[in-house]
Amino acid sequence: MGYIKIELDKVNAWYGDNHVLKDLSLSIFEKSVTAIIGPSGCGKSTLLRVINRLHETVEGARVSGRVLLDGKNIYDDDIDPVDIRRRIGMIFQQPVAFPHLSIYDNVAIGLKLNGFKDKAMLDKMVEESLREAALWDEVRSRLMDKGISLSGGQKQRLAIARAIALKPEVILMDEPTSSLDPVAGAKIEDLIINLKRNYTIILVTHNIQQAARVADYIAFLYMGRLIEFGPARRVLESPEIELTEKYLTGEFG
Amino acid sequence: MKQYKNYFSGEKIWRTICFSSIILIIIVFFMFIISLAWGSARSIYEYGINFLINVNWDPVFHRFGAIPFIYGTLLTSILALILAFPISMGVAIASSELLPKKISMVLDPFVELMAAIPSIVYGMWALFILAPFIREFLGPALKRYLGSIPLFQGPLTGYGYLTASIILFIMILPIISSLSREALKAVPREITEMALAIGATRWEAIRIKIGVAKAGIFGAVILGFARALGETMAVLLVIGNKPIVSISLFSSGATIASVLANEYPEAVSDPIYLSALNELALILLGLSLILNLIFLRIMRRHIGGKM
Repeated sequence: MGYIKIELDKVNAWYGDNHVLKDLSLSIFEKSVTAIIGPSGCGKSTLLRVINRLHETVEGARVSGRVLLDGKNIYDDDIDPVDIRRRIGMIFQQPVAFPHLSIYDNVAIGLKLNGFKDKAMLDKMVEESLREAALWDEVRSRLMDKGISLSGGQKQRLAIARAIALKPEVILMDEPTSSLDPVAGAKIEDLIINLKRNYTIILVTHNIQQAARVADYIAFLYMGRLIEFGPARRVLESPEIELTEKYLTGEFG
Repeated sequence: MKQYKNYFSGEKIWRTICFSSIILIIIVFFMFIISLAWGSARSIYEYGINFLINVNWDPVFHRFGAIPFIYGTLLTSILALILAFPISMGVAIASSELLPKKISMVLDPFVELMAAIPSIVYGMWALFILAPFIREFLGPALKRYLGSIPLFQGPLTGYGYLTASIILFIMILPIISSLSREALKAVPREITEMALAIGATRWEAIRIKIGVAKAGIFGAVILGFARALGETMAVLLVIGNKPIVSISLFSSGATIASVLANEYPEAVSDPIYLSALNELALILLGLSLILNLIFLRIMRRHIGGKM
């Protein structure tokens, strides 16, 4: 196995009184795709949001335990969550573009927030990011159009371009294809496979076939607990835990 | 066959009632415009463009120029807006972004209640509390520290543009605050989370949110401005009611709305005087209509717009 990029150590998370993640420990390997699967409400999304410290921005949300990024706990007092979010990008379930910004600015905004001002440099980085997100050819002639003029699949690739413009080390994806049509979804899947050469990807999905197509590792969550974790093929073909097998065979979910 | 029967009995009556209601509204609206235009006809014919560029308003000698009132209306409204906008944004951001939900749920109704206070009550307060306060404290202080600026020179009675502007500012504050707050609240949580996820600080995320909500906020400003333009009672009580143009904010003045309310009783016996007032009313109606149309356009686009 490879280098451990992220390690969760006895992580608990709450929304108010709702205990969403329970003593969850998990290792994420560098430059691989780890799929988080499990039934609705099992804590998949919360797990992602704990990793980039977005969880705590919701009123009444709490976390305990350690999340180590390159061995350093991101919940230490000397860590600024803003820096963590710059190193860990995130793609959301709903394909949303900033509606008041052009396609160009939708990608450049993260760079501008980080103090990039040089126009030539920005142009170059926006183009690179859009190319890497396989969107450049579709938008190159209309970069100044508003981001809302794009289709759902394009918006999702725009979100990926926005995230990778910041050269993150990790990309979190929260069911990125669930509101897309199959063709647009397939493009995102191809993109994920390409992106793992440069980034560590954690993919939340409710789609087991998708996990089978793109994931190197699979973590199965149930009611806030990690039930099973291992190489994707092993988990899918011969799950060690009965609950995992039941979920994979569609007995519940 | 059964559907036909329903159509001719119940449905037709309801359809007729609904259609007549909307036709009634349209008739009333055009009746307003036509009767105002008809009432202004003589003044328009007699004075033409002079009415809009003449600085003198002297009913006794039948000299009618609208400039003092247009000036007074725009000056007080714009000043009120300049004061109200930053504070409204503060209120809107505090309520939608900074305060815990439990507290903002308690505080928000106060803003709405402020909008519900009748304008005569604002006017009385301005007359008995605000005007003396400006005469005794705020005015002298402004004179002392900013007296080199012509805006703050001249005699200080407490009744004038400044007092009118401040009471207008207080009156439009709740409208702009609550509409801006709703515009901010209408921005989906995803926008904030997306901003945070690319490393925006909390303030940067709020700035992005304001960018998304700016059409709605602009609409709030337009509506507040329209209210300031048309406000009559509170202004009438504190502006001093003199048809003059003065650069000094301490000076008495008049607005279109205040002169209409103030001078109608005298004008009823003098047809050309009455016609001139009608023309002023037409100008005010025109200004308000244009602003409201802008507001409607913005809101429609804002609400119709997708993320």
